[in-house]
Order: sequence, then structure tokens, then C-alpha cells
Amino acid sequence: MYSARRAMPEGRLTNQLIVAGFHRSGTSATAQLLHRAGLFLGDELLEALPSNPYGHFEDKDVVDIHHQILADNDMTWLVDEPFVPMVDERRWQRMRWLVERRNSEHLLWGFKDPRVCLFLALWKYLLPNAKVLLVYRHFSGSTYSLARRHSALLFSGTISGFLHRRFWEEPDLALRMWLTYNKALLAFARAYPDDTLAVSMNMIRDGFPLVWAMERRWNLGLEDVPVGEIFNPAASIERPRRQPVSDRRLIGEIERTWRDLEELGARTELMLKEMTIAG
Amino acid sequence: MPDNEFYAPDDTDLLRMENELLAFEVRFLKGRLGQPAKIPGSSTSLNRLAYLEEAERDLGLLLRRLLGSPLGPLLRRSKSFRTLEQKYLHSPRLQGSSSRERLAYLEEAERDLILLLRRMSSKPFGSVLRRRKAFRTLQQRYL
Repeated sequence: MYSARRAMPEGRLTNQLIVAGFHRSGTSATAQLLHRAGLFLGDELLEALPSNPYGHFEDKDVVDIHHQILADNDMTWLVDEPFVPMVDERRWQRMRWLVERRNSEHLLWGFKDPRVCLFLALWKYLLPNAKVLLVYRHFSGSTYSLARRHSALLFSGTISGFLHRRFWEEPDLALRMWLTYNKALLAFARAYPDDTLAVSMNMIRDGFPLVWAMERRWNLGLEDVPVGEIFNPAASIERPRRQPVSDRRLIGEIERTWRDLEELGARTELMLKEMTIAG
Repeated sequence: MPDNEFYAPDDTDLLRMENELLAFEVRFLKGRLGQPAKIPGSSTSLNRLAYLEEAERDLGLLLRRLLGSPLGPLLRRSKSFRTLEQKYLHSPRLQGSSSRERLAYLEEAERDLILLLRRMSSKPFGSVLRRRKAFRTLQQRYL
């Protein structure tokens, strides 16, 4: 098997950290924090937008690969049902090339892209020792933030309304997307418990010492930095009323998924407690 | 959810989505009202654009007034006055130009109007012109 944990010219091993979470779940703020802590996130990052004024911290190369794989499968990022991607050799080659390049240039590197939730198994195959930080947020906040962002894009007429309009043409689209992405995260966390750490957006916002906890767990070589003002207040606004749902059959599954995510988050909190006691 | 079950949105679903989108539209429009709208691709607000267009109209009116006055033939002897006349009374108004070009043109008109008003105010005629309400209004607005 192709192994990405290869020695750098001077004989040192490289580490990789992937930040994964559904759209509007605080992954950009988390990536910004890790970037400050010394994590290399890409040569060319996506620029800031009104919906993400502090920047997305997404590597254009990685986002492009994910877009290509989705397009090869006749899909966009609006994935709302379980999805097993078919990946052709050209995409594998591009992923390998990116891995090789990053490994040859950086001792510690990573990337963040919400779409990676759908492709974690592929990256884990290429990067068997990669660690994955799962960032999750309650479905109500995520879906409301997503709707806010796409309504603003729709009304400002900056780009074609076709994609944005789907959120108001297909009932529960954002909810089903939340479910699909987060179920993929949970499946990955169950398969690789030692290589994952789950945190909620609220935990980070409320001052969870993320970098410190990650360092204690994985010893990646990150520098501890204060969380500070990394959160865009507009992005962390919660839904003012209860979550609307058209298809009531979704409710049970969404509640179960949320409970499972919270359980993972609680494990992280417990781990932090134990590490603090152990000194 | 079983794959073989179809799901068609009913009227309630459609109404809910429409309501949600309308609520977002109201929020978006309120947000836009709260801050001056911008000209696409520029940092200039529409309020500023309206102000510049008014300055251009005022400059045209002022030039026509001056040319129609007994001083007109005397003013035409000045090269800079002839340039202003040519530029703002006889040249096309850049209707088909891009918003950036149009903005540059309007900003130049504003500068020219200010220069002209300053000159008019400082000459011996200044004290006479200031007796006129229209001139005082222009001075107040642009100087």
C-alpha cells in the first residue's frame, strides 16, 4: 500500500491533520486557530467572503479535487443521502501528487474543507497516520446559518441562483445534508477512534483549549495560541425559532445522530479532564 | 428512510419554504437599508453617486447661466472656461460607459465645480454673486 508517512529528506516523519465538519459548523474558525498554531493549510487558500469574513482557510487544491470527484459522480456539494464516491485514476493521481508534495515540504500539514466529510476514507487510505479533528454543530444552527448564507447570495444576485434556490425548493435539503455529512463523520470516528477528536463549535467558542488538548493527545508540534476572537458573530447566530421539518421521518434519525455527536464531544471533555488531573 | 418511498412536497411544505425565504428576504432588505447600497464592483455608495450626479447637473446649469449672462463673451476668452464648456455642455455624457468610467467622470465634474465656485467667490464679483440665493446655496453645498 502507498504510505504517505514517509521520511522527509532529513529523515523526519511528517504529520497530517484534517479538519472535518459540516458547512457552517465552525470549521473555518477552527482552521484559523490551527493555522495560527502553526498548521500549514495550503499554498493558496480561498479568499474571504461576506459569509465568511475571516476567511475559509480552505486549500484551493483540495477543494478542487473534492469538486472534481463530486462532478465525476454527477453531484455537487449538496449531498443529502449516503454517498460512496467512485474515484477514477486521474483523481487518485492528483491526490497522491498533493500528498507527496506536501509531505516533502512540510513536517506538519493539513487541510480543511467541509466536503472532506464525504471523502475521509479516501484520504485515510493515502494518509494512514493522519489525525482528524471533527467539528460539529447542532443541526438547528448549521441549517439556519446555511439558509441565511444562501438567501443572501440569492438576493444579492452575485452568482447564479440555481444552486441557492434549491434550499427553498426541496423540503429539508439542509437537514438531510447535515445528516449525511455528520453520519459520515460518526462512521469515520467509530472506525478510527484513536485518530479522531471531536469538538463542538460551542466547545471551541466557549474556550475549550483545543490546541493544548490536541498536543497532549497527538503531539503534533502545534503552538498553543489563545482562541481569541476567531468566531464571526454572524456565523454563530442560532435559529430564532424551532427547527422546521417537512418529513417527520427524519426527526428520529437526526436526534440519534445529534446524541452520538454529543457523546463524542463528551468523550473529548472527559479526556481533557483526565489529562488535566494527570498533569 | 426506505429508498423505494417517494416523497412529494405538499402545499404546506411549499408554503413553509416560501415563508422562510420571504423572511430571509425581509432580513436582507432591512440589512441593505441599514447601510448605504454600493455600486457593483466599487466601494462608492449609491448616496455618493446621487450626490455626484447632482454636482454634475449643477455644474451644467451654472455654466449655462454664466454663458447666457452679459459676462458670457468675456468668460469664453478664457481657455479653461472653454474647456469646461466643451466638456460638460457639448460632449456626450458617457451614457454607455462602464460604472467605473462614469464614476471617474462624475468625480471630475465635482472637482471642476468646486474649482469654479472657488474662483467665482474670490474674484471681485464674489461679493456681488453672494447676494444671489442660488449662488449661496451652491457655495454651501460644495465649498
